[in-house]
Amino acid sequence: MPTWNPTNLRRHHRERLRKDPGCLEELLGISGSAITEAQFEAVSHQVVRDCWAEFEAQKRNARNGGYYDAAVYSVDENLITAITDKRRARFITCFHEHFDKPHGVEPPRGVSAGQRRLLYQQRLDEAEDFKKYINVRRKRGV
Amino acid sequence: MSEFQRRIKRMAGSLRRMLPEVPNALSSERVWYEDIAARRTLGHNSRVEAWFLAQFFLETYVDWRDFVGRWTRYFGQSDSRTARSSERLNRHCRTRFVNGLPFAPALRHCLQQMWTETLHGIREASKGMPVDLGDSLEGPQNENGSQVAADSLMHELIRCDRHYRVAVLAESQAGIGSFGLIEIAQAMNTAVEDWLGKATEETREEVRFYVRHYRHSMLRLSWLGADDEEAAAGYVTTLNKVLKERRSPMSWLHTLIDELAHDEAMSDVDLQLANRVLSRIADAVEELGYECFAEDLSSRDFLGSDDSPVGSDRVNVIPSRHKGACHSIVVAVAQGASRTTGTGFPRIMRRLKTHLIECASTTRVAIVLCDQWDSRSFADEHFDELRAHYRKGVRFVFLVAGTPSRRMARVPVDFGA
Repeated sequence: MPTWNPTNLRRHHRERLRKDPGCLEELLGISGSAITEAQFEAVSHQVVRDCWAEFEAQKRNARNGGYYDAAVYSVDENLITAITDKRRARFITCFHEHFDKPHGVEPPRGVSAGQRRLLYQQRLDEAEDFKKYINVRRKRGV
Repeated sequence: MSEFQRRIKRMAGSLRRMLPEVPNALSSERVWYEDIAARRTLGHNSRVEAWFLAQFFLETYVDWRDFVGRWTRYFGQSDSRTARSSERLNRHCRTRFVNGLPFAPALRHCLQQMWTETLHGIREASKGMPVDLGDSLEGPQNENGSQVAADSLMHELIRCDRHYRVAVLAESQAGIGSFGLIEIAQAMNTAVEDWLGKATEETREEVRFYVRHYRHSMLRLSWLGADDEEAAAGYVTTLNKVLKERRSPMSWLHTLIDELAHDEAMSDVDLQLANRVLSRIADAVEELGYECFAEDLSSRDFLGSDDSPVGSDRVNVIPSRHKGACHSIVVAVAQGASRTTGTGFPRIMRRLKTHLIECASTTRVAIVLCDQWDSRSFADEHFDELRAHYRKGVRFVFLVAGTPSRRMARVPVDFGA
């Protein structure tokens, strides 16, 4: 099981609270409080353990016109995504994928797991076609 | 297997898995809102809304159908096993589902509702432009707002284009505009065009990067045109507008054709073919970039066709896996200057010279393309031999890829001096 660098964990937990307040809380059924760092860490482990999709890829880095080092993407039924290094030793980040739209818009709330999977599959295929991702190695589910 | 063939195989496999699981097109409206089992498509215990599976099937179908059509034409694969099996799968898809669409108002009504929500989402996203998300910790490393915006825009360009093609397919037999899907798809394209217009230059530059690669991956090349149904509808999607954005024509082309036209060694037939080949090469390099152009010509898939990157199947190509008969035009494509690789300039020139001897009575024009030019080594190693062929009536054109590699320039070599 991958592990977090404590500093990175803290940064990404705070980023989730800043960018998507209530997002992971809704998915995990947490009410009345923000997701804690420990809960966030537990979610990332759960995603790696229970993912339906797993692939390795290099993602486009528009800042320098190149690509980041290869990373492994694990995606669960809710499209919570955990990214680790290629060796699956260290977590890089963990977030809920809602395709750059506000939480609950795409995919909409209440849709089937099948719709979420097909949507994710389609977006991954497109991203490979236009080279947002390169050297994609599909391991499971996609 | 080439990446293109892998894509065809993946899409065809997806269609075959979905076909038995998509409800009959004539099902009642209630059916389309139900969750159905889709074990073959999604795996064990997975359920999906019937309307979404139908939409996904149609989207995969139009993408696959159009891509196979372009691949077949581009690589000259009309008689291949892939083309034949694709034709069978196409018939199967049309018989089982697609042909029933014009008579399926319930499904179309369902799609209308869902697409209207998507349209609303695009308009809302467009209102938020230009986006300044600041530095984000999303993705493997930090990702800036411009990249996020470009990613979203590119996905929407593709989605709106695909929805339009599905709409044309759904309404083609029932009469264009009968059920409103085409209007909604056009509105989606207008909304994403508006969104693109508000984007920062940084975002648009990133979108252009994505579009260039998408163009090659999906063979959305200008001379391969649009699907017949889409062309009949006479509408250009926003993605197609972006794909059609062109720089000014390369100035060397007209000058070169003019020179060849005044060359007594050139027959009218050879001149016409040379014009076609050179024009296609100019278009292909501009749209694909030199590296992708060269890769496709040396691909296993390449058999030659009038829709190929060289514009004709009556052209010899070096390097090529298929020798074939001698033709009046030979196109030699070099990558790099290595003496040890098969596509390096020295080896390509060696193969060209062999070809000129073997096809001495036929070759009239030799077009040499490269991405590196060394005048001194050319003069030392190749000039004299090629001049001998020039004096026997062969005409040479030398073109070098520039920066970016979508532009080419002519290298002046005067055998008459």
